[in-house]
Amino acid sequence: MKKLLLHNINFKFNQHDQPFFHDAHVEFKAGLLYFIQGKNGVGKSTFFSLLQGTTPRNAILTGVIILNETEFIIKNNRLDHKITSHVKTVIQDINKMIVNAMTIEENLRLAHLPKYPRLFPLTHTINLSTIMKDFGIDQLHQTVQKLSGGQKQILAIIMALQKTTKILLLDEPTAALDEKNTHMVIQFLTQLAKTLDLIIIIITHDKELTSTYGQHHTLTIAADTEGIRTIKL
Amino acid sequence: MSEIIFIIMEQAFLHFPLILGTYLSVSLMKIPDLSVESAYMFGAFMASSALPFTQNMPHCASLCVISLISMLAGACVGLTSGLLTQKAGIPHLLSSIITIGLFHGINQFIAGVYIPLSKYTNILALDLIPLHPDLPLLALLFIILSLAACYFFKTELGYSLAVFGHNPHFFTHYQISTSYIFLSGILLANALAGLSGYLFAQSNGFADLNMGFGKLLLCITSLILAKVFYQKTLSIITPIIGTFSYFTLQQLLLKLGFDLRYFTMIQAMVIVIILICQYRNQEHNHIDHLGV
Repeated sequence: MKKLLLHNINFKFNQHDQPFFHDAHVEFKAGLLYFIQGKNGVGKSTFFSLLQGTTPRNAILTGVIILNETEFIIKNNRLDHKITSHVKTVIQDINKMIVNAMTIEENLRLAHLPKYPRLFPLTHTINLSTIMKDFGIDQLHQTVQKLSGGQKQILAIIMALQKTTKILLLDEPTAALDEKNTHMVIQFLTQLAKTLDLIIIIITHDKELTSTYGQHHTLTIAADTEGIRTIKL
Repeated sequence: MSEIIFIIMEQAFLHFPLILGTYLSVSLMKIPDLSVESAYMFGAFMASSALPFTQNMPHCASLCVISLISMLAGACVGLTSGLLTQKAGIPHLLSSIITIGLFHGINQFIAGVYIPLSKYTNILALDLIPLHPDLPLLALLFIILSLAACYFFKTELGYSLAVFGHNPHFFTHYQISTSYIFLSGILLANALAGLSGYLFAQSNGFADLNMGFGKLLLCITSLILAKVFYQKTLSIITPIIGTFSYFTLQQLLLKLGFDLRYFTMIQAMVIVIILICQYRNQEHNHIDHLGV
């Protein structure tokens, strides 16, 4: 069974700070959707930054990560590149992740750009998910402008997945969407997690969302009286 | 009549690299890149200063060396304004104004304020067309540049420049270097401006400290004119249409008896008229911050 296990995770923002996460233990199974909820400032984004390997330079991070049976002991206070290279994030403001004036196909091709774009023709190979069709994103020559909010969100997700990914993080993917579009995006994510065997973790403030779709897979981050955060399933 | 066509072609070919350069930086990347005026002048001066040293070279070699020098000089100006923006955090409009000031001084220090080129062999000249000896080589350069740009617009970097104009935040989310794309675009645009500056100096027989003045207005007029006829982005057709329509308009106005002294004003008026028409037309109600 493919899974991501975070074990004995200790994190503080700098040497002299009190612990932020103390001996945290969380497990994520592939093929499922996980929701993370908690008050503003409680550490949802900090948790994401641990997985992305983008914690502040002075931060102290120790623990063990197991990704699909392979064990990684955290060194140098950051997650190994072998894990972070499989983590992709879709931010809340998806308009920053897509080019509205260009077509769906061009957007998908652009997601393949290397760190330093070269003087070689832009790739024509794109990874299309078979389930895209079910959500009305199959007319590749349409400009992105014409898509609905939910469809744009789905496009941004597919763009993030153009390079190999095992873990997908989403920050409030449904905050700007109406009920119908929210349902569409969550349906899409559920199918996507299954077909691609992905671990999908979603930050949300929407209580209704977690009660409707995430009964068994909602993590709550909370602070105790000393400010140490606990992560509970 | 054929004379006026020759003049339009010559002027268009001389300015085409400059307009192509501003198409990259201003139209595609949406950067207010004023420093092209400085790059145009500096390219002309550096190439003109190097001209005496290439007099004994074979014609082809000297042409390549001089063109390369003019492009490198232009790129230097671009690098300065680009680094000021990227590494010192100065907004690009301000950093390009600073760059113009810097190179106004640097140029006077290295090369002076005026370089006459009449005593050197004109390396652009081929005696094929009487009265227009520069035209064949300029036409060849125009074709080479057009083909190169045509290919460039299909490449990763070409697309990246257009994406930068639409959404400069795009790259960070895909682990692509934004500053690399920014600098590449600015370097290319200014290198092309430098080349154009040299062509103009060689064709007119002198390089002058104020030769860059007003060139950005010329480019913007061309590109806005082009947008009236052709709306597709990321296409070599836009700068070509822009260049030719601008110089056709200029020559027609001259033919009608307009005084060339007032031409800058006419340019400004052309831009204003087109932009007002676009603004009134509901479909084009969202003119971006550079108008092109």
